[in-house]
Amino acid sequence: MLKATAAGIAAPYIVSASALGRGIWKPASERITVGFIGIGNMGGAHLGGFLDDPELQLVAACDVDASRRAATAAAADNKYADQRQAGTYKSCAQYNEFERMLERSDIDAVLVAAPDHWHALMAIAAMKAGKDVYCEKPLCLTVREGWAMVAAARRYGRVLQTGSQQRSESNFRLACEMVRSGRIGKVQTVHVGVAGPSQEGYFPEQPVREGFDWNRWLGPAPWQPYNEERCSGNYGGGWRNVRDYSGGMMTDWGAHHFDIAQWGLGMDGSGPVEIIPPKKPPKVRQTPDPEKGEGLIYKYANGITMYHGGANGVLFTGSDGKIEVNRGYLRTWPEEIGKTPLGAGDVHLYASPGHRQDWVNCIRTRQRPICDVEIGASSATVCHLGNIAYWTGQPIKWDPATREIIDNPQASRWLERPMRAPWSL
Amino acid sequence: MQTRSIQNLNTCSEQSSGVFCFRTCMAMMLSMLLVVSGTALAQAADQQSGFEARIDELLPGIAAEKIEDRAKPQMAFEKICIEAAAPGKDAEREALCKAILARCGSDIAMPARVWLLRKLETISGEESVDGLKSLLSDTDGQIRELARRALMNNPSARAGQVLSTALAGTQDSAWRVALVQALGFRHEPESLAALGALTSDADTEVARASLSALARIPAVSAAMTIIKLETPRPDLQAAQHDALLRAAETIMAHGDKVHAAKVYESLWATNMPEAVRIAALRGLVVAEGASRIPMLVELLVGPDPRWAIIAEQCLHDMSDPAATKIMGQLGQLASPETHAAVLGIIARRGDRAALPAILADLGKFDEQVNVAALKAVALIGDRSAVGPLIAKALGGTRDEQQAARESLAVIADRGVDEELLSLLKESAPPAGQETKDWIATQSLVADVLVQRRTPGAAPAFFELAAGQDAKLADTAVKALGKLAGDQDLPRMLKLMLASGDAKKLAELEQAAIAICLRSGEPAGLADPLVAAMADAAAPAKAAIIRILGRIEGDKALAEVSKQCQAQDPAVRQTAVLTLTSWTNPAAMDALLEVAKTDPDRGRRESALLHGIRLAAKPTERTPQATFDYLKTAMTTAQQPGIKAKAVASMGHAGCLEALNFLMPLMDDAELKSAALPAVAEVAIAVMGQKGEAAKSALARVRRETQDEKVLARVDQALDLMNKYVIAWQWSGPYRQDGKNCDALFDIPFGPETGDTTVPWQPLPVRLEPKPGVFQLGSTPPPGDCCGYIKTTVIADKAQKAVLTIGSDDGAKVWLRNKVVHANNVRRPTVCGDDKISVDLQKGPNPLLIKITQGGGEWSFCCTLQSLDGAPLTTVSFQAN
Repeated sequence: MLKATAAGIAAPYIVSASALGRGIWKPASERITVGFIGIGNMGGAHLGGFLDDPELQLVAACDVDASRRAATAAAADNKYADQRQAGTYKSCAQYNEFERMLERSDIDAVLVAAPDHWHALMAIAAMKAGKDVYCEKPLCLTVREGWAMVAAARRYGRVLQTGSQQRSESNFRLACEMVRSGRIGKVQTVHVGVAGPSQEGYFPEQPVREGFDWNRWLGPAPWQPYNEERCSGNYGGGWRNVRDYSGGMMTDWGAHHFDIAQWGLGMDGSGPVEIIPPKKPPKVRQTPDPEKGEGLIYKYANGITMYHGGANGVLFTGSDGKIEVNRGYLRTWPEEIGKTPLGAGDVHLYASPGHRQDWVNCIRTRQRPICDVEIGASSATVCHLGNIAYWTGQPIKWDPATREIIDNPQASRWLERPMRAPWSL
Repeated sequence: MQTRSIQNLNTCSEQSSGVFCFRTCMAMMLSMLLVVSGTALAQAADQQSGFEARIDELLPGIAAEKIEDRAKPQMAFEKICIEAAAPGKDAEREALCKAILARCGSDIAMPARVWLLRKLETISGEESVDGLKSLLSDTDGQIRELARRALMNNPSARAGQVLSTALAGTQDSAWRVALVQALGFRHEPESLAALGALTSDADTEVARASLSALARIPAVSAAMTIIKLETPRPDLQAAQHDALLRAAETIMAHGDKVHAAKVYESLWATNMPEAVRIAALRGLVVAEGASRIPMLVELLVGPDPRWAIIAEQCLHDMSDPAATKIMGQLGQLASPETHAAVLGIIARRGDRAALPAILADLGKFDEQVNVAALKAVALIGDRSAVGPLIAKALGGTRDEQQAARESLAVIADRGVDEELLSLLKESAPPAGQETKDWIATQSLVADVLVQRRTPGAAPAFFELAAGQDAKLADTAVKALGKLAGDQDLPRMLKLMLASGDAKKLAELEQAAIAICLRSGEPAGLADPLVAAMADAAAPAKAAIIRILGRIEGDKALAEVSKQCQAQDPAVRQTAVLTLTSWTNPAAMDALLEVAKTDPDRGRRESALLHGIRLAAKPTERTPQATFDYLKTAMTTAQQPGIKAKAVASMGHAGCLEALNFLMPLMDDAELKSAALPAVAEVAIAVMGQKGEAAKSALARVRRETQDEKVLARVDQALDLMNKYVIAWQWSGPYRQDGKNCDALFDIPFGPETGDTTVPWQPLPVRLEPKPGVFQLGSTPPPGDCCGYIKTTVIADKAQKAVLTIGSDDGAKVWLRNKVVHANNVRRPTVCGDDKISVDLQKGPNPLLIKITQGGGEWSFCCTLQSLDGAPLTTVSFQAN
């Protein structure tokens, strides 16, 4: 439901753009008003696309870094300069606290692109406030957070698109359709090529930089002194590799490639039943080599084994062939598998018109997007269970129906993490 | 100890009285138990002191001054914790936790206290509760917080009691919130009283946190506490709405849908915030199921489109098995618009039970409803829908026909394929159907089978293609072009050989071409085509030659070359024409042969021109071979225009011989304009290996050319020579099974192990796509691999210099056989990304660089500069 649409005149910041004669832009009353929460690597990467989207109007920018939110607001104001001059658009407001932004009744939807340890709190708060959400991947920092997000989305009837955008790319969809249509026969194994879990972060204390709200950046995570690298989005060494804020590449890239593996296996909403850690963990930030006994092993109830590592992207191996898919390519062995188009009787998965567009469409239709919150939570669960197995060094038996670890109370304690007050699920 | 027990047993056996014996035995057993228990205690104490000693050993490192030095000891301690906490090792875990608590007092450094306490968060149990309790009142806030976290995640019920007691004993607002949230995290029914009392606390944050914590407790009692709360203060309204919604879910999970529905009903009130009303509506639907369908349909047709969309989604999500039927019945009573909308919802629900009713009602309602029903069948249909859909596709209104055809094409049910195939196999109209209607049906079925890409349909289409009805045969041939596979080609060729009709032959030829081009390996289909040539009449031969021209490959080339000498003029003409259309440079020699031997001058010239065209294409041929070919073409040519084209193409023959051959042609008035750009291109290609000759040739072109584009390229090339290291040889790609780009970085291959048998080849210089950036390997680039490039820096004197590298992906550099730089990274090539200070010796300095490839572009860029960033003038480079 679009409050800006619904209320029509309730939007204080924008009025109808139809009078401007700008054909491409939807009238203001039909545009979805959006607020950004977190404008680092991913938020920044989304900015251009959101601003260029004639169905969306960015009206608020929230970040704990004053310079980032100011730059985002300036970019929006610049983009909407014509509307501003015509008096039909006021400006993009800036917020340090996302709660203040969520209080605004004229915002329909939010992008959550803060670091992982914030995703659940921000997304749930947004949904409670009646906003739809595009939440960057991985959906959550812990298994329980993910399913709390599912519960909130269902409770409030909100649309949540998880940012695992490979589901909206045709080569990944086609690979999964072929696997699920039996093109490689009975699936036996899946190899998923992503690097390993996050670790503790060791960074010396530095003075907090001007205009940066460090306490709020940490939020629910345990207190640590400020360091530039600790809160940097740098893939090589920033927060993505620190356990308090992220699951490392297991969840960061796992939310892409394990997600595709789950899709190809038709396991959305479910997952593996056993996770066996390797005797030899992978090297830091490197993709493990199962042949060296490095990657962990997932076992599904139907007998399929999934290996962490050993592929460039995702490699499905079946009784009659193989399919490997990654960004920019799709390979099949034998080659013919990929050359014969799928028929009507084969499995056809929903063809998303583009990840953001799919989200926008679903905001309007209230249908579930291609990477609905439940799918995001399922895939993130697979990744997090892998991390728990790596971190505890213990094999895990998992019940995908009850979403509980079986007979291992110590490992179960990693399913949710205590949060620093005043934050809680 | 063991001895003593045995002695006691011996004593017992000496007694004669049964009672006495029993008492004595009991006493002895008790004594044994105490001994064993004492032993266990002693063992535990030993274990604890062992852990304490280990902690003492690690403590200095855990709290090391330099933060990065803490990593190893902290991880070592974490490993101890993980191992002690493994299932079945409870005594060990307990001992470790006690050791941690014994050692994490205020006498040790803060970083160590923090690290030890954080470990308790995931391993502590009952044994730690008292220790953590005392830390809840520590003077340091961070320690209090760590104790709270450890208690939050502690499985002992006493941990919850300790947190509750602490909550009752503090007035600090933030600490109260923290403790309430800790109880919420534990979500134990035992916290109900403590939390319930705080929901009306004067402190808004405490009251709000208590509502949220209560809502986490999955017990009816907790939910009822929330439900029974009085109307909240304005500051708690949102928290109470959320808590009520969660409480309703809790009681519903315990089977009490009636109470849950009452909660939702109260929240559905029009004065509630919209987000809460949406949640309440969804809750009502879950609690009361199909009985809420009328309400939803009312919203669906109501005046507010926003609520209509929400109602539609609620109907879609409804899990009540009776829902579909009720929706269908209600839909029929509504307006056509609503009826159509309901049919759409039923279809999206994917409930196949609705199919018989929908099919039975087809045609009973107006067009709008019929179209919606036909579209619904697309999602829930099966083979039973084929007949009704065909009837509508042939006999409905225009919109109905289209909807029926679309549905037939997409129903995801293999039974539909089988049904359609059985219809196609009928060789005559069924009783009662007129022939024209039957043909229309067959045509429709054929079209649909093609659209559905039905597997196994080809044999039926071959039957139809050989049948009497021309229209159906035509449809079948077209269908085969879209559906048939490699294995069907021989059968298609048989039809071609049997066909006496030119039009039909042309259609069969197109279908055969389509089959070949769809194949994974078109060139591999040459055998049946070549075999068919033996029995083919001239028109069929010509058709097959054209097909061979589309698949190319060695066998096809040999056959077409052979047919260039055919006696039949039409066949010969077709063969030469086909050869001149060849896209692969493999046909160059055959074309040259035609150019030399064909009796027809026009064909000779055409063949020569196309040979020259192919020579300009990227190929595996060496530049020298390309040059030799073009030189022969030039001498074979009689037309000056063709000679000029051969000269122009020599720009693609990047070798010194070509440069030497072309240089004098710049003085030939007829060929000069073709020679100038060719000289420039050859000079650019060889400038890495033959720097001086290239420079002099470029200088001359620069003086004489009038062509601005050529001039710009020459300037670009001369600039490149000044700025970048361009004299390279390369070797690769190198791979190892299962090893990705990151791993290959550290795997030594021949070039870095000093293997002298490694093949090296010159790396040609190209100005595109980016000057100075060398592309490695083939196009498209290979998967994960690595390659090596080498040159020798000849320095006039010993000097310091800066080597810059940009690479896609990682780069490792050896200077004089020693690693001077290693950057295992995935990145695009950006010139100057890595800057390496190097000491050059006077004379030769061998330079070897390894470049890894992890997907996408594979390239590098390298400069050697003086310390102030200027180009080095005191060095030269030798690629060999």
